[in-house]
Amino acid sequence: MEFAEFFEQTAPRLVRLCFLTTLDREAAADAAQEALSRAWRDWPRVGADSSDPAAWTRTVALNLCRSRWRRLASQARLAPRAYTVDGRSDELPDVDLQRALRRLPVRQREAVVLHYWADLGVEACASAMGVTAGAVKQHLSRARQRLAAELGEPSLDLEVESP
Amino acid sequence: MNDLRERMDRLADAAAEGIAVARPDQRQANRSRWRAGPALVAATALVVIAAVIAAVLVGRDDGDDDVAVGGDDAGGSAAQGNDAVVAVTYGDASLSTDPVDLAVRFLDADGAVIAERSWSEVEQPTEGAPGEAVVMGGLVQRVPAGELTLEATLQQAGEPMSCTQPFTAAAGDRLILRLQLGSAAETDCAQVESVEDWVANRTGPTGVDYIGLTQAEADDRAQAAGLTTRVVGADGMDLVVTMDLRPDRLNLLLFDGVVVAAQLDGEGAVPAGQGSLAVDLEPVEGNFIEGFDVTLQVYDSGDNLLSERTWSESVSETGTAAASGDVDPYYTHVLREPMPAGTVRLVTLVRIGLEPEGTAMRDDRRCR
Repeated sequence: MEFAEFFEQTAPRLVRLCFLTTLDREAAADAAQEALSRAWRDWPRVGADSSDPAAWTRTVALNLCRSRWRRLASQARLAPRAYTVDGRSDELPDVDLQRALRRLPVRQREAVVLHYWADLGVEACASAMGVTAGAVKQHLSRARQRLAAELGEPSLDLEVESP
Repeated sequence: MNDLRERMDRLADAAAEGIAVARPDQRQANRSRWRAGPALVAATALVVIAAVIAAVLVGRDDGDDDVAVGGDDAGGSAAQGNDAVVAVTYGDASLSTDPVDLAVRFLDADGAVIAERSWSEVEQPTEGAPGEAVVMGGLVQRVPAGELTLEATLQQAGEPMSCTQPFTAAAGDRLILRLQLGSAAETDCAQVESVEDWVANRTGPTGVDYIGLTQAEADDRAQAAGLTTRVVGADGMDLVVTMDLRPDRLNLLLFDGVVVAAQLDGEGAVPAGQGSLAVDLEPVEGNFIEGFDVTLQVYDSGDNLLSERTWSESVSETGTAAASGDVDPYYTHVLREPMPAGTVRLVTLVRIGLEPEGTAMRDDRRCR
């Protein structure tokens, strides 16, 4: 696959993934941009037929999202930006969901986003997060309880599906 | 759960609206691949910020060392580049001289040749002085991280003069090797300097925003701001420049095609000597358990205690925990402390357990 094609397929969803895990548009754009830049830099290896460039880039992006160091640097505007962020964060919808996600510990939020939004199985979540499948299940379980309480939706208390 | 997915979808779609990430291959079409490395290092060095992310992991009584202090990209499988960038310099830049017959080779720890380069690659014919050449920057080479050797051979009056210079390059390093041929020494003929040292105190408040840009990008930005630019140094070599004062002129130092320092004529550098330390708690793997406290001690390189704070004390000063009655502020808080610039050592002491306030610390974990 050519990098250009990979970028077009991956970038929009990667930005969304980064936003849902950081709940910060600036940090999301920064992490997605950096992850894609690294994918391009290492494309001969990352884009090789035997590898999964989307998974690789997702993992890099998650690591970057998790790193508050980058967020601080981004806020301090020390790094040059290749991306642009227009619009205001306070105009985003579903404040309840934002609050509920924000209250989750980072790992629980990642597990929820990867499993329930990105449709990754437990093993794939574990691989992306760099933890064991058991840890993912535990994060999901706790996250569901907290989300159910925060959002008042008992239907959230579902079994973990493992495609 | 479909409802949750749909809500996250809507939220993510709304958030992504207005965000545009750039195609790196298009943005950096005129730059070689490895130039995509983050410019954060340079920027950070220039403003002398000492920042540490402390990641505190409290596992499930597995007896492992539970405290980790790390920096960017802690954990995960994100691949890191294993290369460093080295610039070899020789003589003075922008002075017209006879061409120099200098060959350099980069060898790895096994003596295998990584690259063979010639000084003629950076020499350009001098206008109006036939037979003479001018150099406008060092000779840049990408090398793998590790124990390496620079081998240089200068042909002078038919007499070869060779020397070797061992050096160590870590991944992401940007080094300058200043060749000083001419002595009888066969080893240690180059001074090894970091780019950060080269450009130290050479960025002014205006120039901070230019760091990491290509020269073309810097020119565009400067033009939009009503400024002109000139390159006063490239790839480790300082160029000869006029000393006239033009307050609208931005002086650029470039390394490997990107701006590593920038300063307006007559403008002072970003004050050095003072930085700040930012400490953040994050679960690395496993779960936070509630009822812990963290004492953070910061020592300077002479082992003098610069600061000692407890996490709960720092959080309580913000008033957020008391206001919300929630524990989240303990996880989301960022402790910031002013620090003298330089290397500091962070010692983290973790008290685990739901003990009444005021009891002795137990299960202290120390991480340096």
